[in-house]
Amino acid sequence: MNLRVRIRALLTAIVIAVALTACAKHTPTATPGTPVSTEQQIYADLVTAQAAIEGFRDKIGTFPKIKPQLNEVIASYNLAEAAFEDYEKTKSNPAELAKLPGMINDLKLKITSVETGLGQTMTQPAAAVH
Amino acid sequence: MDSLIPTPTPNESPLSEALLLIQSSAQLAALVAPLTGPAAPEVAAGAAVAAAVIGIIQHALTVHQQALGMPLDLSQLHQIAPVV
Repeated sequence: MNLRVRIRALLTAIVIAVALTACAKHTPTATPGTPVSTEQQIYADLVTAQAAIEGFRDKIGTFPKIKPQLNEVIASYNLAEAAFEDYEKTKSNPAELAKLPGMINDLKLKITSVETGLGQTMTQPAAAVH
Repeated sequence: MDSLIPTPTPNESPLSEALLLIQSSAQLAALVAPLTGPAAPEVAAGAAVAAAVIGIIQHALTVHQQALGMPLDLSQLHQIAPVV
């Protein structure tokens, strides 16, 4: 195979790879600026917190110092998640929904506290701390 | 290299902003680590931690945007056991 054919094959492969990557990344996302309902926002926050918690859980060996803060985040998440599921079962009690933004705010505060532990780990990793 | 400035995302919530804050700290740490001196093991370890944090947060923020655009699916939510 001569050089020109090889380059053409390589370019074709790159174009196909880029196109496949673009297709794979096409997932439904919110339109910027579009208002969402309280329920949708709470659901998104819970799913997001769950993804972050599970990410940190899976790699807890990388940042063992954050375990206490992470467990506080988990406790706060579990309360909010249970309350949201309770509300969604009947949707009959708006007071239950009204409590959830406060619970999400508590979850946010707990997540913020993780940042402190992570900051220490990133600047003084376990290997360097005695 | 990931941008130091968090990418603005639509419909940010206080929770996603808290995650962006963590991501910014990690990005800053990743940026500064190589500048703090020779490539000592602790510097490399700190950069590795920062990279792991950035990956986790980016995934969570992607999940956030997807969740805002999808119908509610309670089967996606579950209780999480504490770390022991």
